[in-house]
Amino acid sequence: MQSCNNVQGRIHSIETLGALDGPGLRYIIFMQGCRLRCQYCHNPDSWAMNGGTLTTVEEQVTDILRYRNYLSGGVTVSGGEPLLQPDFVYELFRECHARAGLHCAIDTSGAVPLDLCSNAFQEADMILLDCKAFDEKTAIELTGYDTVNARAMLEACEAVSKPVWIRHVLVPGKTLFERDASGVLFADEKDFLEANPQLISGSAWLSRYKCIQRTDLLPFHKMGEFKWEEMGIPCMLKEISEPSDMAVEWSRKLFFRNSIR
Amino acid sequence: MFVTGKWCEEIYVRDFISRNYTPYDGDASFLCPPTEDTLSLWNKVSSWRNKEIAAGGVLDIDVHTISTITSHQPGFIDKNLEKIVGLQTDSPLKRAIMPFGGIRMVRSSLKAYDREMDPKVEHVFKYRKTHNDGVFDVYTLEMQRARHAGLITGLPDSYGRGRIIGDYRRVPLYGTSFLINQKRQAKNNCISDVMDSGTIQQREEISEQIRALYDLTKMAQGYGFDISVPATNFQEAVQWLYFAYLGAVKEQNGAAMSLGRVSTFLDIYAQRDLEDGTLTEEGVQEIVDHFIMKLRMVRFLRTPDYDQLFSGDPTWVTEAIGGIGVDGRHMVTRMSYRFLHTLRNLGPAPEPNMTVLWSPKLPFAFKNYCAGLSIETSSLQYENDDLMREKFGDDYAIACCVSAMRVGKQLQFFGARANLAKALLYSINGGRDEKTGEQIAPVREPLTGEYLNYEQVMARFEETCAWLCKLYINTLNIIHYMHDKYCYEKLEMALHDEKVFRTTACGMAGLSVVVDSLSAILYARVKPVRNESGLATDFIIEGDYPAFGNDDQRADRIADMVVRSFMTELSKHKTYRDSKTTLSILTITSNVVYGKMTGSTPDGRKAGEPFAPGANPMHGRDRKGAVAAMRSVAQIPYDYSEDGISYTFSILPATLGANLTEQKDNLSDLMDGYFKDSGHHMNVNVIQRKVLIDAMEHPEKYPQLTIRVSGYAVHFIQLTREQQLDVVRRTVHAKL
Repeated sequence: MQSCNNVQGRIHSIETLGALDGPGLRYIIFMQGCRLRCQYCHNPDSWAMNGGTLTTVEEQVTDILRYRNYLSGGVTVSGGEPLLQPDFVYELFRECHARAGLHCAIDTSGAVPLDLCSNAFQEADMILLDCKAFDEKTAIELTGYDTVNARAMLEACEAVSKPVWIRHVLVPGKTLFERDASGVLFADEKDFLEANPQLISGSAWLSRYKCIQRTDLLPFHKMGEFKWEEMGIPCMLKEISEPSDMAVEWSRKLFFRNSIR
Repeated sequence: MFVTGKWCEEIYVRDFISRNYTPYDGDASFLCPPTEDTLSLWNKVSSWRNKEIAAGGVLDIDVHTISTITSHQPGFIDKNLEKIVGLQTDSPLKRAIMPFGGIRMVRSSLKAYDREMDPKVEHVFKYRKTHNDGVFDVYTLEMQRARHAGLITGLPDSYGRGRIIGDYRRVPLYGTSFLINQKRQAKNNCISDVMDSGTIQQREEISEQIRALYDLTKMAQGYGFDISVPATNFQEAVQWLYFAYLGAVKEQNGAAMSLGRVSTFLDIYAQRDLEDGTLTEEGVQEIVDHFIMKLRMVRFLRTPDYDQLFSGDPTWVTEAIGGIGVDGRHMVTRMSYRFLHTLRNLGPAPEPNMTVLWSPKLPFAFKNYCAGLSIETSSLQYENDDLMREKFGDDYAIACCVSAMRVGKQLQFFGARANLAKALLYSINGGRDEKTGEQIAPVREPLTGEYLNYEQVMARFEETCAWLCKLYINTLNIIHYMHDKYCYEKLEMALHDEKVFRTTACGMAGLSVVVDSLSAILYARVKPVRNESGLATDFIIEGDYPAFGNDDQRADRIADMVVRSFMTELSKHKTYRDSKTTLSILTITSNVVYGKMTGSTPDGRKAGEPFAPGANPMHGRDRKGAVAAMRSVAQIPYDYSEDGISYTFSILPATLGANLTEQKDNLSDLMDGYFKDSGHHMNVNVIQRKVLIDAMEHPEKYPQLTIRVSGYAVHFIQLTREQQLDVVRRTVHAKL
């Protein structure tokens, strides 16, 4: 059972109090390395593929088990993009399942082709899928990649009834349009909806999947901006502000109406 | 009728409770909102409180009357509306003078609030000595220096020591006549072959206790009640109990005047009245609301310095709620809910200091209710019942913040705390104070190497601690000898057994500073920066070191070692009345003031910067999140800090879960985890940082905003600016 414990992974950091990335209290492992270059990324320091701390599965599981008394939820691998290190994730989840029966979730963009990470995908109890945009043009503009693989992953979840939580960041001017032509915030919900066909089609599309347990619409926030500055990368979203409460509220209502919890 | 038992023949409150209480497994849906009368009374109290704040913290002072159990005429909020009556003086929020702890404290308080000392009162103290006078007659120069330098701080040598909890339940259960008779018998039995000082002291004390019980009876008569007989219904039970507590806060200006563990006891009376149909749920809640309102009105006259140290006006009316009985039944009753519900009916408040004795085995509905209330009010603290029950049984309460003691059977001699970070600096600086250069500890050659050497520093630190512990215990011995002599808690002790178990409760501040400093010296390289007189006034750290609060054994083992060796060193010394030495790791809000008094430390903390509160890791050094910090704190050995280990946890609501249901579940799970891990105490603040910042700018908008600080709660707007900033900085368990 412990033959593969020396598989190594690159770890960016650990958060021992995870209460948002999957059900219950969770141990979150932020994996190092990502190929997407999301313009709103909070952790650009997790992009580099050769950074982070090399850790074996055994070391990682040993640390997780120290927190057993707290882990009413389980373990989530996040990132970076955890599915770029599928063997580590697979072995880690196997150990977590075998040794403590912990619930294991992957927080992913879905950008990695499934056939390159099917072992990790299959071992996971849940997928937190970050839908970057509901149209390909925006997706490519925002992240550098299309969402073909992400859509395939959602299909795969549906096929085997693997629970999914969808995340989608509301970025003003990119994935959310909250102002009219003269730059004034929409005062009327109907006008807002008319200006956001991508949200209407996106929510309709998602509503077809029974595997989706929940959709979190996350307002873009600027708290990660300092990291971009620290790393000396020009932050492309500098001029963009956080969305208005009203626009977020209307968006959530729309998704709720389309029976996505 | 109550189920009878041993409690009928002798004073045995626990027996009464365990035979008669009804555990409650249900949820909060039975609770009632405040009545019109309650709201009307609370409006009056709130408006007085606003006037009090506007008047600079003190509304009025009776400068003429020395406070005793019977000193003042009855006082009321509104006689026609009050279900529970009794005030410390004849008028709400008017403060009394209590000079027996120290007439100096009264003088300086009156001066600070621009009031004249009454010459008649001054005259009395030409002939009458106070506790404070006694202590300073005996203090050695060495003690005075250590006190002055802030090495041993917060000592109860100029006011009442507090931390003693009378078993106030005895008054409703037995009536004062029975209690007086029991005390008489005890006195008759207290005769030894030789009339040695112990026996003489004991006999004199019992006589004082009997007198106090007579006074208490008289005080209640003034309000028209005969408490010489047992209470016959719920309203009387609350009233009798409150009178007993009121007598105590008229007689003593104690540093902490805790209530004990009364809610489940009182539930027995309420349950009977409800079953008899003589009271409705609304009526029960109204009486509880009125009682809690009174507890929120307890006031002592103290100096602004004291209030600055402890942020406002703390009285530590601590009430312990919940827990599990030794027989395995949980002790949550409807009354546990009703007490907590006052935080909604009357709004959040620091007092009474609601303390939930937590066990993962408590009913789910109750845990969930508490978690919800914490999220809503940030007014609760939690302590590990499974850990304490082993040592203290199932009828213990909490004095002040974290000090467990068997009710009516145990007391502590409060010893405040030693500044361990300063002790570490003295070890480096040859016993001289890093700020003043004064020689405080015995003269030693200062450490002179370019880098600090761990073995050398540790050897010196052990020496310093050995000297400090001896000095500390001897100082406390003097304080408590004199307090017994000049300011004996006669009423509170009348509500104790005669054979009392005593502890001398020492404390430490700056644990995480010391641990990180030692870790830095051991795992990184620390270069002292010395001034012209050779004092190390700053430190340069080269490299990285494991900090306390990351569940990293390298640092956590140092914490374990520091606590064990300090406690072991303390217990080598003989204590007053052969009390058992204990230790707490608790600072309350004084972490800010201690930090101010302490120079730069080898962990990288700059001179004047606050310590972490209680046993908390230093702010900003945790890299693995809050649970890792909790695990580090939970590993501090309770067996070596039996007087309590305080941990303050602050989190933004949005970090705790996506919605209220999940936040409650997660908070409850978090506490289950912490207490299964043998953590002792946790303050929980769930609060938006922007609310705190707004409250700093617009205090008038937040008269009741309450937050937990190490071991108790305060009104946020009563904190000093520095303390507010400290709290805001710590509210950071927010994930990016």
